Amino acid sequence: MSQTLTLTSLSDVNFDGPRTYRWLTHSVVRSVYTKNEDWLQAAQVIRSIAAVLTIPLTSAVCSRTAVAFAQQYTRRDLTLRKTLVLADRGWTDPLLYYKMLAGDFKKYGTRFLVGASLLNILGE
Amino acid sequence: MGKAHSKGGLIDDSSDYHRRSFVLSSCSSSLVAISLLLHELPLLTGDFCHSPYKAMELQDLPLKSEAADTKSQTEYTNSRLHETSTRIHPVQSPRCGTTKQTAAGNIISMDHGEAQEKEQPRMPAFKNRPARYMILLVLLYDILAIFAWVIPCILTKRPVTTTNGYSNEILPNVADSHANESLRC
Repeated sequence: MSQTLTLTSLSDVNFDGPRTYRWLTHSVVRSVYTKNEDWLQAAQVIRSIAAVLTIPLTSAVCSRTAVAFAQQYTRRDLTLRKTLVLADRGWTDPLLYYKMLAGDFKKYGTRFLVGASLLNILGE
Repeated sequence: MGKAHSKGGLIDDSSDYHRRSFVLSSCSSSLVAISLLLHELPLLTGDFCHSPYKAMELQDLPLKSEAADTKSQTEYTNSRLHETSTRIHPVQSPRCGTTKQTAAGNIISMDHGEAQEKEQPRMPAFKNRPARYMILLVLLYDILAIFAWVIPCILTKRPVTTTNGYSNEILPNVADSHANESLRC
């Protein structure tokens, strides 16, 4: 691997060698440091892209999987109101959070809605 | 930690804290990615265990496509209409032992209807197909998020400093040269 991560990839370099080779190890360490900084910058850019993508992707996936949740065989307690909350992407609605926290959780809330809300809050 | 770095390391305290905060902030998106991978992806692929279709496959009940092959479409539609007319929505859960007149004019007892409902699963209007493009998007996002988490984790765990176990006589020279370069600039 040409791009190195940390100094462990330089284990074969004799850092305690004669003083005449110090300039060589000096340049090697500097190049490793520069490459590591490049890796870190690349990770920062990718993390920014992932952070931008988090909310739209999570919401899209949750809305898609809400259909599968509503079609589950054992979901007999899924009322029309709860289904509409899922269909309206209730996990993006702050007013719904307030209503659920105020005591109307049984009216609006489902296990799926809690999971989707946690995912969205974590993504933010 | 800070003293060791200031002794001649290549990163100072601020960049070390920056990396640690970077790891923590990347951790949240990675957690989302892992949650999506573990919880949502089986739903996206249609591999959910309590699916009515899966239940029907287990009970060898005909699906819509299979029914179209075996019977005529008219017979199948009539049977579906009859099924839906005798089915009770969970919102309007009736009391046991009462009777109800359906849209088709049939008077059925609720006990019989509930028993029928327990026997046969509710059939959804359409089958939820696996979303392949969504799966690809989730996998791509997972790769990006986990990569952006692992790299700073490695660089924070074993940063390029004097604490790496290498000779302390080398890295101070590098740090000195960095300081000289910064003074020149």
